[in-house]
Amino acid sequence: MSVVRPFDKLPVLNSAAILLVGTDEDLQQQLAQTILKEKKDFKISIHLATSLPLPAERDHIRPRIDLIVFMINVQSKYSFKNIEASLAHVDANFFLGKVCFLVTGVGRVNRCSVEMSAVRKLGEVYCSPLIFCELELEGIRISTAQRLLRMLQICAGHVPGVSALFFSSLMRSSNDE
Amino acid sequence: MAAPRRATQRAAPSTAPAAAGPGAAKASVAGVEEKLDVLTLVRLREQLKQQFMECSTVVDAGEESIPDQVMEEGLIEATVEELEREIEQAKISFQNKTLALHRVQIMDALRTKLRQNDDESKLILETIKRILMLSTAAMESQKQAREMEEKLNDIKRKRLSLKQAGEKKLLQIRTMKKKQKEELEGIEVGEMLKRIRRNLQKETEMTTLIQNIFQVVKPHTPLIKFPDRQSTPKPKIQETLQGRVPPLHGSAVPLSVGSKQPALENISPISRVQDVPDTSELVRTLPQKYRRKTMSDEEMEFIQPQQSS
Repeated sequence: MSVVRPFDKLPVLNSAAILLVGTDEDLQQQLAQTILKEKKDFKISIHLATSLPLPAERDHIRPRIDLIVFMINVQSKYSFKNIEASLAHVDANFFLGKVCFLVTGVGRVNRCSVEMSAVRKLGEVYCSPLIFCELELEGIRISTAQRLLRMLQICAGHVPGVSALFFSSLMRSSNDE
Repeated sequence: MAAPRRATQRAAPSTAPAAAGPGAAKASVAGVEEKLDVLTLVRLREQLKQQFMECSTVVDAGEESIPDQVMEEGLIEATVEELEREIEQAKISFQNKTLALHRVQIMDALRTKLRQNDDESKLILETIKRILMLSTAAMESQKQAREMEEKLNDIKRKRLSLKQAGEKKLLQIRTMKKKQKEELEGIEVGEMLKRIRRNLQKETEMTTLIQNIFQVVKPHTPLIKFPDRQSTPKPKIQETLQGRVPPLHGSAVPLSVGSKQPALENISPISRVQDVPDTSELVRTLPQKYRRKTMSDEEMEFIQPQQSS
């Protein structure tokens, strides 16, 4: 399977899977650990990847992925290009609320090499929310992890009455204002 | 999909914390666990309902619209083609690999045979040598063929360049011819123009000549007349004075052409100035009393000796 699809597998009971895509592996690891440390009442599996598509060999043992988080480091153009290339391998149904862009390194604006307008345009084009954060700070990392967990819960269908599409449309409306 | 994939699944699904939670709860209170279980069961039911709803909506969305179905069919066909291509590639790679393996096996077998130093091994060595010879010969012939091909290509290139040059020359010749034709035409036109101009000049000359002739032919009315001094002898002053009288008393018109006119012209400017106010009409109409009295002979005699003295 070259394209990741949101509904090609059945969900596993009381569990959710999140996929972190980004070139900065240390930050990915740190974020994954903070997400695991958070208190929660369901099973979570975190998959890390530097780029898409995911390898096809282990596709059969991979659970259904509920949320894809693209981590864009503002300080490296390579990460941005990599994410742009990876987006082609994501099924369109994912962009109905199951994708979010995590823009990291925004605390040091003077070292930005990716234009903010380009990042914002990416978020607009793919109808997905942008989350700005500075993952190297402990507090922000924890809060980001909590946000992602909540989103994951919604995307995995653990919150009755709220679907991913509904949530994303809510986020979009707040963005437009 | 033979493209190298960088993506690697590094983190295995970690379920340790979730598993630890219920375990701790079990250790603390046994009675609460059942309640928790009921709660969790209810929660799970809700989860399942939500997930089912989402899946069903997705299915509905896929089914409802017909264009989507068409798109899906197209997508399926595309994927089928892709998969077929992949299968072919896999088959080819598999065949190549098996061939390589066969070769390796044969080489291994030959080596073992050679180590045995039998008659067969000698034979094999000979055959190998022959194969080498043949292969070198084949290589040489291939080299020659390549050289020949290169030469042929060079010749072809030269021919092409020559053709192009010839085409260019032809074009040049054509343009030259065109230019020449144009020039000839231009010359003809110029000659025509020259002829026309010459004709025009001639015509204009003719017309001027004719005009001159007409002007000459026109009757000439002289505005000034000169007296014929040679034929008529110079009149004396007395005569002129006498001659002047008749016009004063008579009805002679001063401008009329006559034999007495030259006498009139001969008058000095002073006498003339005195004469000007006395027109002939005035002289005629003047009453007798205003006229100068005619002189008597005595008077005349009296005056003349005075003049002479």
